[in-house]
Amino acid sequence: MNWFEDLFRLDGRVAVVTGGLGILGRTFCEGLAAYGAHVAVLDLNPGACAEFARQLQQKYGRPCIGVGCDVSKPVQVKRAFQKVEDELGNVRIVLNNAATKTSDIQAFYAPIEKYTLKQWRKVSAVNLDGVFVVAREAGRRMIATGAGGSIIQTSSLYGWVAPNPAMYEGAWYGGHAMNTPAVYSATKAAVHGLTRYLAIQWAPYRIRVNTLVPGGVEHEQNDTFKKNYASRTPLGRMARAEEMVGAVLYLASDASSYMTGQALIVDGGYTAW
Amino acid sequence: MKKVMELFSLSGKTALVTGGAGYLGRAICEALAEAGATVIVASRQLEKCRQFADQLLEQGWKADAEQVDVTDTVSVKQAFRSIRSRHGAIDILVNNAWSGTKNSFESIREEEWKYDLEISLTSVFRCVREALPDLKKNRGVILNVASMYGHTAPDYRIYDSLDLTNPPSYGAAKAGTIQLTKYLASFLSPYGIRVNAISPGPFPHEQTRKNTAFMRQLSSKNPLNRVGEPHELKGAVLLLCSPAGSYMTGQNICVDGGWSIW
Repeated sequence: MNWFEDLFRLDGRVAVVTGGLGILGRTFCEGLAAYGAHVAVLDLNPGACAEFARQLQQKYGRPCIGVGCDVSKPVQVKRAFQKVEDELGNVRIVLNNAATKTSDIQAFYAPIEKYTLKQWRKVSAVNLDGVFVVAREAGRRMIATGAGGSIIQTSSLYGWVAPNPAMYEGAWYGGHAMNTPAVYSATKAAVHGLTRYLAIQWAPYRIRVNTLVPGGVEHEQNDTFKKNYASRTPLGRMARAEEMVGAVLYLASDASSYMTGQALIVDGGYTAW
Repeated sequence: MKKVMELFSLSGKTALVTGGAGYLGRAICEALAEAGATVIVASRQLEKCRQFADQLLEQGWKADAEQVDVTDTVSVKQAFRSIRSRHGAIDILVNNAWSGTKNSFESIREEEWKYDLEISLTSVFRCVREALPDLKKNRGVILNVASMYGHTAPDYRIYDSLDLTNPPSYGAAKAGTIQLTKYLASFLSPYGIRVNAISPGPFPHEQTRKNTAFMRQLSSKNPLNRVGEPHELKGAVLLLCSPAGSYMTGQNICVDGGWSIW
């Protein structure tokens, strides 16, 4: 048997994906299940999670479950992990991926001078506090089982570089004028600070912690934005969600067994020039 | 505690600036001279260096000129002997020399690549090696002039002709300079020698500035929406070369109008 052929396999490993119903989250769940992981889909809507998990299970023939969980609520996170452990077994992979625009889109896209502290905190509660709470829960359990694991935290291009305001002229996302608010940049940069800290702290327990840094992923942006973005990217286009899966599988699997504390930037070359 | 103006004073210090009569070299020399250092303006073109040193002298600063070809070890050794005989051991070495042809990856010839690496990267090694006894003695300072293209790639779309294109050798040499800065900062720390770099952003020469279409494109790529003026390097140079930066080593200050932040 050639060991390298199985390098990316995740057979039988239990993976938790927070924000599992998002554009990236759904794609990540599919990728993990396709490589043999038993996937727990965590997101706000329990019914939708269960339905998506059922589809995964049917398509990939792996046990998958959906669990309703608001990552900004430590009790819910604890209960969700307990449920995953009871129904699927010990967690080995965590995609710490949930982020929020909140339910108030206008407040989310407000200009920085008018940004309210309340809105800032609402976003941070998920994008940063939630990432901490999920990582803490995952780490506690991985340390207790002694089996180690891989935690992958989703940051963003805008945790690395600042958005160029000119790119947002005439830009719309799902029917709203869009931008990238400062709280998004700040929390996504903070995610990598947490990654490096945890990578050091938990290295003795064989828990690896890395950051995924996606560039802009094509979704409901209007053509103006897509064009603006494309023209600033060496590869000349936005990313497709599927194009992040290779990096996730690499970080989740033994293919990256000697890698920790790192950021994997998948941005079509955006930050290279 | 030292007063802030004392912190930036280079009174009684001697500084050597390679490429000192060039476009950015002049601003660097001025900064050091205005802070009180004796500045040795050095390059292959002795006459040009003399003229600029004379200008500094006329303005009441302390300056001298020296001929040096930083691609030639014999010339570098000779220059240091000559400088020592007149000024004693130097305190500050600024590795700023650069000259090379514009090229694309497809046009650059191997001799040109070698020359560019030689003048921009190997020269740093060569000058630091010669300066080391002086810098050890004086617990001196090294400043390497790197570039934004030492840590980001040029956007090829704005360089539409060979007259303008930034050659691949340039960024490679400058990236090497940034790394060598950190290496030296580590290895020379036992001697109290600090080593830092600055990475200037777009500071096009007067000739390039005449091309308004290119200038517009270049500026629009920068958050501050303009190119840099040579005097805008003075502050960073002085911070890193003076006691104001006494706890800084191995760093690379980007003076680039924000080029690399978006």
